[in-house]
Amino acid sequence: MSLRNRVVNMVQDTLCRSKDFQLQDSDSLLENGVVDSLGMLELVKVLDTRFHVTVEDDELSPENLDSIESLTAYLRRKGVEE
Amino acid sequence: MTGPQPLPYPNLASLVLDFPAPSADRCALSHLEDAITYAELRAYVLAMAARLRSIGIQNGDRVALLVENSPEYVISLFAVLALGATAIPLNPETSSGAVRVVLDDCAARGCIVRERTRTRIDPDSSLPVVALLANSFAANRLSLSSKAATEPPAPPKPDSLALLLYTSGTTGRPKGVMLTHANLLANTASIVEYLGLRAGDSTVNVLPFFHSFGNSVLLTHLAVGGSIYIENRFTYPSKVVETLQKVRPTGFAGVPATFYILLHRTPFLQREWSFLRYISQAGGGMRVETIQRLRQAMPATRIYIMYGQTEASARLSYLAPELLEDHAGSIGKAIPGVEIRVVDASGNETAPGQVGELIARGANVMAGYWNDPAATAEAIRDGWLYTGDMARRDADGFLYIVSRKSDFIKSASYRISPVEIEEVIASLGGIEDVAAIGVPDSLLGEAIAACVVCPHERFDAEAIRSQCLAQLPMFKVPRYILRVAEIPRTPSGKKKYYVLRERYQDLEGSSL
Repeated sequence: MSLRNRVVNMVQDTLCRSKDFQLQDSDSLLENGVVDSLGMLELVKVLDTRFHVTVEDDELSPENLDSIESLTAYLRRKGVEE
Repeated sequence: MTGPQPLPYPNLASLVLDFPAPSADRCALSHLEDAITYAELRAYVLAMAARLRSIGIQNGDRVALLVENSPEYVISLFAVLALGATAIPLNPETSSGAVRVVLDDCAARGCIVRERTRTRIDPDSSLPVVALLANSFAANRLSLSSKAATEPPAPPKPDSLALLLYTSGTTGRPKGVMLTHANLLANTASIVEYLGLRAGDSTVNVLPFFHSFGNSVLLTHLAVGGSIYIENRFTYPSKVVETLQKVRPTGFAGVPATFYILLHRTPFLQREWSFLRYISQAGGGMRVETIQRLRQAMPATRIYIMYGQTEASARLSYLAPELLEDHAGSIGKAIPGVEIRVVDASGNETAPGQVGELIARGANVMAGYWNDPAATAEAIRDGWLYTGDMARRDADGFLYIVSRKSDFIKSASYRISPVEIEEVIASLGGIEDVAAIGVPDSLLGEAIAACVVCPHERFDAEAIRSQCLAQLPMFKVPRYILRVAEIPRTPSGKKKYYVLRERYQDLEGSSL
């Protein structure tokens, strides 16, 4: 499974109430109500358990985490393979 | 008891409709690139009120607000209030089923909701909508600006219901806290007085307006002609630090988690904060260590520790900043206009140092719970609000919260009924018994742990978590899901939550 699809699955499993995932890859998770502060804490935890990636404090930013696209690119930069 | 200086407003709507002339060109609200003066806010509120009136909303009706913090939230709230109707602010993440329960409970006319929120929580459009807002403020502003100027409707009476704020009930069924215009004005006047708020004050607000704390930040600033910058990006806390540094407000309010996250997950300590005249904290006890770090980071800033309840409009007590050192851990004394006592089971005042229930009375105490005389009679006795919080008073009269009488979970400043979570988990097959408890958590105050009794081979923590995610908002989803041999119960069958709380008080430090 591609990294992008694994990210979609993670976001669905962690944050979404329904499996009916309508967002585009570039859509903001925050603006679309997919993630809030507590959800972000969960997401950071799951990034660690599923991808073994520790999100540093200065990486907790929309540029890294606020869409499927930015999450996928962030994980690639952190060395996660496709 | 000394009361606060009353505000020169007969009802809440007049905070926005009858502001003093010098406020007209002052910034009332800003959000990202948008800014709204008091004169503009008044015009938009009147236009929105006219729109609601045109579809039949009138004095005495109830209207739910399903809008995140935004200029539109404030405009919608005051439009409803201006009509003499009652607003029911709800978390816009609430599922359509839970919204329906509230609408049915209070026979509301419908919701004000944004298009994208409706698409998300109510894709079948099953909820009644009285106003559908566009996604962008630019579009809503244009629409409201195009309305011809209208005169204010007849002013609401001070004792009429302004807000119904729904909180968790002990049975899991939400309870509507009835707050009148007079309740909220009294509490607003008191907070304005002890914080020393004035027209030049400003704040960056990260607290939800649908919650009594955020609501009080909104009302107090509008009452003095202050300015509120709405910041919804606390999910990325460094953005909030950036905003604070850019906006340079005179005040900032948060719950314990707000300050904990700012201190531990942002460059907060490397910044300079002398522009902040004060910060205020409520929504659960904050660790003394966090208070000390804040004092070191912002030595020129006054730190107010506050305590209250939705049932008291928001606030009941505060600890004056100059007393922080000598009374660490205290919630201070009653705010102006409020009396507080600590009483035993017979209703007699306890001696200093002895623990009893904290009770309070004042013009800010709710009118009762909507359509629930039994719960109202339980909470308000002889004019006193029984808070359910156990406290002691020291020899100097300073109050300390010791524990909660009830089994509510207090997480991230939300009061959560265990029953609600238990019902969701119990609806899964194979669950024999379940109890949800709060366990100490340095960030949230309490994190939720679900203790589940079921056969080993049927225990599936992921399935339980998915069920909770599907049916509950994120703040009610358990962090820990534990399989236990049994739920301890009293001889009469009541769950002994305190036994579980004690057993699992160190979960945070464990490897779970």
